[in-house]
Amino acid sequence: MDGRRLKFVLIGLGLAATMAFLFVVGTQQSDGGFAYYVTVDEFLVKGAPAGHFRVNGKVRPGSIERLDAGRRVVFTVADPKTAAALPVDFTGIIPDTFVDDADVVVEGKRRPDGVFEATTLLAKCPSKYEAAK
Amino acid sequence: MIATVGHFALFLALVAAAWAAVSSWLSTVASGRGLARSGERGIYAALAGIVIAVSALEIALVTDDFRLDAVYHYSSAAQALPYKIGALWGSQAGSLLLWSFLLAGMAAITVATNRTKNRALMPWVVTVLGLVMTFFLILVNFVASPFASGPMRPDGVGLNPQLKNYWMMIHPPTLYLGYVGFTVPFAFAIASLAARRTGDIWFRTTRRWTIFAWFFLGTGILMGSYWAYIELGWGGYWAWDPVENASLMPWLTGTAFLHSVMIQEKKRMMKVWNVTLILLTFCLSIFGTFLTRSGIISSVHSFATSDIGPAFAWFLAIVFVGSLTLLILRLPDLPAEARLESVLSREASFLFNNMVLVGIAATVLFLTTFPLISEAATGRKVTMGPPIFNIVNVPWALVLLFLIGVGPLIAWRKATAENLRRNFLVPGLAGLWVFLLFVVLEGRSAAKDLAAMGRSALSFDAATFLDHLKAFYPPICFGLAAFVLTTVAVEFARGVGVRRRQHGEGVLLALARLVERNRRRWGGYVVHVGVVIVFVGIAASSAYRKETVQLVDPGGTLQIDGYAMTYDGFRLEAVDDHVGAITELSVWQDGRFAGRLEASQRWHPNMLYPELRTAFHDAVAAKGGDPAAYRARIQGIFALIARLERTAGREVKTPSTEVAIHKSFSPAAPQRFGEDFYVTPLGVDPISGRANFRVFVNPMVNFLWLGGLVFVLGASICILPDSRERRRLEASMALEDRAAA
Repeated sequence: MDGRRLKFVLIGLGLAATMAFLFVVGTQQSDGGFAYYVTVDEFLVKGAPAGHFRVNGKVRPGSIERLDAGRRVVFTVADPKTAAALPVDFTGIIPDTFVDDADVVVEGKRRPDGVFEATTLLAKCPSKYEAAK
Repeated sequence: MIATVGHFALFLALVAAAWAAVSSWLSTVASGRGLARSGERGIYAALAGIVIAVSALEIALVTDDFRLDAVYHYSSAAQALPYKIGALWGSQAGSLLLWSFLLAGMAAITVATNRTKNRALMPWVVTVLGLVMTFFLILVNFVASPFASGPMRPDGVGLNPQLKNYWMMIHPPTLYLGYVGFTVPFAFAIASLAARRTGDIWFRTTRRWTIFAWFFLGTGILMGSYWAYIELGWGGYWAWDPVENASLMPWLTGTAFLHSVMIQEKKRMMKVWNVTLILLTFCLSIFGTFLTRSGIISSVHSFATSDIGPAFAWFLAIVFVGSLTLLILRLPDLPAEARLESVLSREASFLFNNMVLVGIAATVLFLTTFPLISEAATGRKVTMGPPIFNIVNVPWALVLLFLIGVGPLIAWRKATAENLRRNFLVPGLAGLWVFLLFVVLEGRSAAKDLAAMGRSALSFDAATFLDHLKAFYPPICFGLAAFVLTTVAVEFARGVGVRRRQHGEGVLLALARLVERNRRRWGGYVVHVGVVIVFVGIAASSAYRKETVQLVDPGGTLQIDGYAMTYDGFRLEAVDDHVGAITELSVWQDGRFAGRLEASQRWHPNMLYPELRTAFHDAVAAKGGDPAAYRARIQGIFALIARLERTAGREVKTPSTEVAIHKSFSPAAPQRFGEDFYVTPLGVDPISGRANFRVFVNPMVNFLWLGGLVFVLGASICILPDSRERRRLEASMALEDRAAA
């Protein structure tokens, strides 16, 4: 390999390396968008207490408590398969599809008092409605 | 009846496409002229079968034939005609049918336009096209049939309300034209390898196909963002969602391909690279269709989940491994006939642009599929949100912007100091000036960020460094934009000046002649200008956007960033397939009255509940009568929905939001040029009217759409027939024929 060719290969490698570097830095930033995706059960049993998580579960019926004129909500998200339940505190935009028993994904981290402080709340809505019943 | 016709037509099309592939391939081994012709006729026959199937499905949609699942699930009797027609690509099976239809159409055009040309390549081209068609026809015949049917049902479920939008109707076909279009250059690339005709004919023949596919893919992406912006109500246009990424990746590699073939044309190098790029682009197009339609990676707007996954995965694997093997076997036929001489040369700058484009595509692919990789490797699911995509890609997008300015002007082979000074001194100064201007405008906060960057650099804290560097991205972007725009302006001024001196033409005539004489070059500049404007729009609207969420009662006022919005009142309506609360708003911009807006929150009741259906029809019937009674009936529907949801324990409505946007283009407020005041009602109480408004101020967001229009103009200039290109292609063909003889 001659010198000139080597130069181009090095530039290419440098490019790949900076992209990898940016990726690593990005995964370590708290709001970097990188999060572990777990169910409520996995979060409580296996999940590390620190770090950024996306927790999937169902809203326990009757647990929704809307505060601050509808801008904050406190509720319990439960694992549909086991009895595991996690209290959640969310401030922000509450989607229309957020109702009892809705399938939700909350993103954020656990506070020292055990409550999950969510920065994002996604409520899955069926992409189309099927027949009644 | 319709279903039978459709099934039958699709089956015949499958047989015809398979025959086209087999007989064309046989003709390359057995050298039968008749076999090759027969293969080409197979393509036409397949197209005929697919046209019959598409027509059958459209007839079923328009005549409300709810026996067909594809009609029942995606259309309803009350649906407006354009949406009944568009429901064809609402369903997964229907969109695969659309894919097959577009592909067959393009294959037929390819065959027809090459009747007398490229006789050595065509049998292979038809083989590849036939194989791809066969795959899609197997899907629509056996895996996801658009003609699957059940008993007759009284009414359909209807299209998802968010899809009922003009842009959403034309966006998928546009995007598909792009995805499908790359099949033609891919087929020619494979043919050139298979037939060992590895000259420049394959990409010269398909140059306009490539631009066509690339143009439609790019336009489709922009249309999709525009739809997301005006329909989804979150004030943004791009979320790095898997489906969006799927369309961006082939566009990036396609852009790289368009540039690097120019190097092969001029210098006869990068041959392997070009074949690799078109192969990647085609694979990413298939992968894009697969991501969109399979729901393999959960996505905010993937409207499909299904079982076509394994079929696609196999097809993709076969295409990728097969073409790669062929490429490796033919490596000796693809020697570079020149080499790079300097880092400061046009070849090198194109090579760098290729590296960055492919690098960005690779990162997007990696980040999009990372959840799958991670789960397979470690058993832990992870998700990737938009921030990480931005962290990784924004710096490289800025490098790309810089290269857009450098590439077209730097000298071939090796740039001299004189060349650099002549072409880049003025644009460089212009860019630097704009950059500094914006940094100074930021003032104290820029100084703080700079200091923080210095501290973190000393302590090797990369994360903090990058965090503060982010503040400089918009000024860097504006500076680079000024740099590129100046290079283009200088080029145009020089070209026009030369013509005026030599031919004594007026400015406009000289400009028109200039562009007409070399469409590819000057059209390319226009595309670059469009891309720069898009970059500016993205940078400004994401860095300087303002947002607020406030509860407002009728009569109340909301304030944000120099705007005041009064909530004058609301009215209720029951129309089409929904009930809605329309809020009436007045907007003041910097103390001046800007206009009235109406934004609404809609509920689409599930008509499969008889009581809801009756109540809805009663409300619609009450329209035009006593206003108080009409209002009371609609309020009754809201109450009924709430009651039903409690007892049923599930949604019986689909909410949707109609945003209201006030666009500023007034010369009276130049600092707000291209800005949007964007209102989403998150919820409206049907009794009191108290509404929760989410309001955004998006500066310069309209530059995105304006830049898109400039892009369309430039690409249209590039795609017009060009006599110079035709002569070059004919010369290459003559050369090759002599060599073969």
